[in-house]
Amino acid sequence: MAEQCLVLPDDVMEDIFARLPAKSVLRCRCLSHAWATRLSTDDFADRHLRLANRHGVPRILLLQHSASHGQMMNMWSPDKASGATLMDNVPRDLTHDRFPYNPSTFGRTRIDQDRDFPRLVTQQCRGLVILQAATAGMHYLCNPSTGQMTVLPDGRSTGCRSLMESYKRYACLGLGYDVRTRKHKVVRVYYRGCGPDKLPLSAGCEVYVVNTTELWRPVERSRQEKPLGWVNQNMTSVFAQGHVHWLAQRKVYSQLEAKPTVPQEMLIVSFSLADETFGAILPPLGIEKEGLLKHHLTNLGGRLCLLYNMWPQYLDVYLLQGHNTSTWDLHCRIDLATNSLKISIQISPLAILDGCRILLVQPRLPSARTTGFKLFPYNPMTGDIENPLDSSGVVTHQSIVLRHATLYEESMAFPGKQYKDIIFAVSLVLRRVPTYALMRLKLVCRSWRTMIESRQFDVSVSTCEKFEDY
Amino acid sequence: MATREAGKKMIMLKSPDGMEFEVEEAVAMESQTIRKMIEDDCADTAILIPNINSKILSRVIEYCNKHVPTTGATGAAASDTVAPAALAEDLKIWDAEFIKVNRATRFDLIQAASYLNIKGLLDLTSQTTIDTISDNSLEEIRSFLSTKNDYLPEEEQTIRRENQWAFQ
Repeated sequence: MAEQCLVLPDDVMEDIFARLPAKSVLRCRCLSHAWATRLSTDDFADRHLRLANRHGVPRILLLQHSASHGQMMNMWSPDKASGATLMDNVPRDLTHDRFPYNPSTFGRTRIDQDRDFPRLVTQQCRGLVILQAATAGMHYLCNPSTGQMTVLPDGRSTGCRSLMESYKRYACLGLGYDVRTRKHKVVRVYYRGCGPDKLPLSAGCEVYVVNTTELWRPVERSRQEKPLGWVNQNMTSVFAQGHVHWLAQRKVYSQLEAKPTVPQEMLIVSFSLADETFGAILPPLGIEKEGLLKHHLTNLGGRLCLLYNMWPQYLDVYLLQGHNTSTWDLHCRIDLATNSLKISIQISPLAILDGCRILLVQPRLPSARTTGFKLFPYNPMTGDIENPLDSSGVVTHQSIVLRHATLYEESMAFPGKQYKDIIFAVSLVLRRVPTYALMRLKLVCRSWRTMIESRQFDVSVSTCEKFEDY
Repeated sequence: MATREAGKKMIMLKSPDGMEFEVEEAVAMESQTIRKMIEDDCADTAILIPNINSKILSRVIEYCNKHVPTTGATGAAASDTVAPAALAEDLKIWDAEFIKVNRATRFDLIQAASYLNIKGLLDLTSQTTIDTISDNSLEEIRSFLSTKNDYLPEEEQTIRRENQWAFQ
């Protein structure tokens, strides 16, 4: 009887729930109606994000591919006591059977294989990431901490007609969080054509609000809706200080031209989640602006971080101070020349450790053919790059860690219902509508048109018809 | 009654059962709730801590005494994250010993930590509860919370399906 009375008040309990891993919270939503409601509010999600992610040492999300297990998504956490442990909170085979992986589509050269692997196209933003399966042309919105994953609906078509054109006809995604509406938003920038001045002939932008029934919608016409340069499609977008950021070039550089005829000035394109407008951030004074090879963008301690890579001499770590004024702080200069450790050119900062040291991540060395990635803590006080953390636990035999790593966060963010479920529901209604009427319905609004023209809609309608036959 | 003793400002804490505890201001400030009171100048005389009996309050003070940043170290660096590894290890062992209490005391400590807003103490005391929730079945958690399952069977199926990842 005494044990029966021992119950903590609900608000204290809620505080304890906010410290649980996201998966456990999901499970606890099944306890009762009252708890389901309490654990589903935006306020709880905020509190959970704050309380469940205090580990001292940041956790890292990695995509890897192994011959035996296929695609895997792993969370790696350097344990304070024992160096490194692989934690299995993330379903290992999350990506295994979900990504349409078709080796016959391409030849089996090394590079083509790389294209078939899903890759991160955005950095982590409050627990969500976007993965791209390039071959299938699909994008997946994923919360690795809960294991939920949904397919993003198709945007406006930009399919490139030929390989010759691909560099000036493409789309790029960015992921951010709007604090006012408390929603994640996906931003899609697309380009078509290149003018004689090497500027995009046509560029546009669509926004998809996560976990709503809406589809892609264009940003409002009256505003600055075009990016001010060519966004780089091979690097991840970065969310920081209320904006999504991409590395970009003001003028296009064609790989087909032996020598670029115009200088390609580097800039950072930003997109404000609150106003849905584009802006540009100028790089710090004094750094070389030609090409993008020496630059890398990331989020360091909540601020936009630009890495200026003068390998093998030094790395400069800049942090953005003011968004409107493009002012940068030189956070530190990491001296590589005097260092005894073998550091590759691809090194980049990942997170701040215990408020001071910077955790640097080095992906696999392409030349050395090593399988692992390395994590080096760097101490700005002493200027030393310390010995790498033991990361042996995460990489199993015969696996390749894919190029991008990002932070792992416990989060209640829901990536939205499966798009094909929504389409299926709509197509149940629309399947009896004659084709000519369907064509008219395309004019209802842009998002209807996108849906009706999508491949998934076709598939859904034909599936419905099959049901009818039986 | 705030008095001065060996250069340190003292604060008087009173439990509802009439006991009084004199603690250093720095120790009392481990509690965000008390810190706020002191900063808002509502703490010139003794602070009455409602709902927390003297037995629990004395344990809370014991915890705060142990966890107050050591004044020997220099200003900003004096927090346990930057403390030498040996000291942190020592504190960990002490914490493990501190939390060896029965369930009733632990729940009282959780509530005290929650009311007084002492982050470290709440983390420490709620860990066992966190483990209980992470490891046990839903039915066990329900009895732990003395919550009734008010879902209809088909409703529960739906909600389980929606959160299927969490059950794997």
